[in-house]
Parts: sequence; C-alpha cells; structure tokens
Amino acid sequence: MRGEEQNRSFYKETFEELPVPERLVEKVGKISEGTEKRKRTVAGGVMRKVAMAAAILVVLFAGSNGIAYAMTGETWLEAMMVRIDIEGEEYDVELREHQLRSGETIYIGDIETENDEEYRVQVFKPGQEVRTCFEMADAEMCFEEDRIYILDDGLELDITEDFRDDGRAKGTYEVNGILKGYSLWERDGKKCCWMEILYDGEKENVWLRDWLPEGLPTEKTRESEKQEPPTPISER
Amino acid sequence: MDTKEYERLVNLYLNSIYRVAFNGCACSSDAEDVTQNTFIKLWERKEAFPDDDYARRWLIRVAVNECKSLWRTAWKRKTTYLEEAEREPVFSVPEKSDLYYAVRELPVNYRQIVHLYYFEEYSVKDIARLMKLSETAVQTRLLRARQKLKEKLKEAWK
Repeated sequence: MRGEEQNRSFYKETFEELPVPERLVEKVGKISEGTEKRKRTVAGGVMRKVAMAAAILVVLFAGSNGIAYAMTGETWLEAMMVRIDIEGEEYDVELREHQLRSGETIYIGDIETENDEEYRVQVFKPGQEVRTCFEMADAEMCFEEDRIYILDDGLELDITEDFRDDGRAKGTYEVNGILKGYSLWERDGKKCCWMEILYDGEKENVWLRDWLPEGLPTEKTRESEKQEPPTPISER
Repeated sequence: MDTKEYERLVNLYLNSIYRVAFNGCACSSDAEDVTQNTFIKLWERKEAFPDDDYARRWLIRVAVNECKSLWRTAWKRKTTYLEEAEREPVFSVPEKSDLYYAVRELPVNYRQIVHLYYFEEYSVKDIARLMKLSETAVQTRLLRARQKLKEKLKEAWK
C-alpha cells in the first residue's frame, strides 16, 4: 500500500496545480447575481442544425467575390460576419478562425437564440476532413464523410456497409484480448440510431439523435422503421 | 441559498469541482460548463446542508451527473481549438506534467474514477454508488487505469 500512498500524494500534488480558469471563477461568482444562465449542451439535434448552417454558409460564400476567393484560395479570412437561419429566425454570427491540433483550420461562431439556447456553428473548408466521434466506454463511434466506424485502442472497425444494408449494424470484435459487442440501429423513422457497446458486462447505451451525414443510410431504412429495434446485446 | 453561504461554498469547493469536471469531460470548455451548471444548481437549492462535507459530496455528485449527461448526449468533436491548446497548464516539475498528460490520455470513464479515488479519496464502494456502476466495474477500470499509468510513467508510478 505504500506505493499507492505515494501515487495518491503524487496525483494530488499534480492536480492541485491545475489552475481554474479566471473567467470561470468570474462566471460562478456572478451566478448569485442572477446574471449567468445555464449553458446548453451542444447535442445531436444542434449538430444537425449546425450542419444545415454550414450548408447555408457555402451558399453565402459562393455569392460573394471576397469569400469566393476564400473558398478557392489557400487563405481564408480571419473572421467574418454571416447571417444564419435557425428554425426560421435569422441570427448574425461572427465566425472566428480556429486552428486544429492537426494543423487544419476551421471557423467557429456562437449564437444565443431568443429562447436562450446556445448554438455553436462550425464551418469546415469544402473537402476538408470532417470527423465526428462519439465516446462510448473505451470505444468511439465515428462518422466521417460517408463512413461509420468504431475506434478502439488502435483498432478501426468499419461498419458502413453493414449499416447501409438495412440501417442496422451489430457484431463483436476483440481488442487487447477483450471481446466487445456493439449494436446500432435506427429508430422512429429518423436517420439516427442507438448504439450500445458492452464492456466488461457494463453496457453503454446512447441515443445518437437525429443526425447523420448525408448519404447514410439508404432507402432500405424505410423498411426498418416499421420494425422494433433489435434486442440489445446485453439482454440476450 | 443566501449569497453569503453560496460565496462561502464557492470559495471552499470551486477548485475541487472544476477538477472533478475536468477529469470527467473530454475538454476544458465542457468542464467549465459542467462546473457552472453545478453551481447554478447549488444556488437554486433551497435546503441548507447539514455540514460542509455533505455539501462537498452533493456538489461532486451533481458534477459527476452533469458530466455523465454530457458524455451520453453530446457529440464529441475530436478537435482541440487554439484557445484550448494555449490553456494547457504548466507544472512545477516535468514529472507532474507527465502524470497530467498520462491521465488525460486515459479514456474519460477511467479518468473520473481515478480522480475520485486518488484526489477526493473516495472508496471503490462510494465511487460505484456515485457513478451508478458495480463495484467490480469500478475496480476493473481502476486496475486498468493503474496499468496504463504504469506503462506510461514507469518508475514514477508505483
């Protein structure tokens, strides 16, 4: 146990040095003044709107000489104001340039609607790799262009074809000697799915809401809408 | 809750709650949201706490649930923004920096267990109750996390 005590002390000393951002201290302090609002989670439904907003932005870019240059040239503008439609309401948003760790650049802007909902708009260059991953237990499920795959400790399991067939995908895979199961299906006629991963007998089950990249799934989805979701792996 | 009591609890536990949130979220901006939401719930709470330890546990439980809810429903875009990269903390010695990054590389569902165990000194049983997991699942994740930290940190992790 001596080793564990040393580990605990080492851990504590390290994380005691982790600074709390000053702006957070300020925000939390203002809560009692009633000026701070609850922060909305950017969830699947929002991401769908973000994807829609990004499509609108591409149209905007094509309509402006300056921005058309930005689209086709190597350099993008550092910041720009654009007007975005969210469920019939128009909002002006300033897009700021952000550098990803990969070295790529994307554009980000925040919107607060009249209903006090907060949205984050993320805009990628045409052709730029867009990957959205969803963390589940040890694994991640990722959408990338027209692909769906599971990432788990270096293993990349492409389930696109399986999913494309009938809007479902299920199976098992082994990583680091551990057998894991996954099950993914659509629900309620929406281009969406549930995903479940079994890990050491504990299941992680997530409703992925109503967003999927265009191109997935296919017409066969309609048939599967009428059926009940498959039995989750953990209940078999 | 009155302003004076709220401010007293913020002074006592803000750091602690931010660290719990930081280890339960994929990025620091999520951790800030979780911390903020946790203290909004504290401010909205009507009943007084019997003691400070009860308040601390209540706050940690709220933060863990906020993280879990975020984890289950939010899309995690695997990107780091420039402003976030600039916020990487600087530690007094390189060994601490190594531990920090080794912990950050753990899967998020290991990280929070590790933090609650080593920093907040919760028992496996308490963590299981807090995170609605079985004790075996907590023990397994703790064991795997320790192994991963040992692999990364070698002698620095016993």
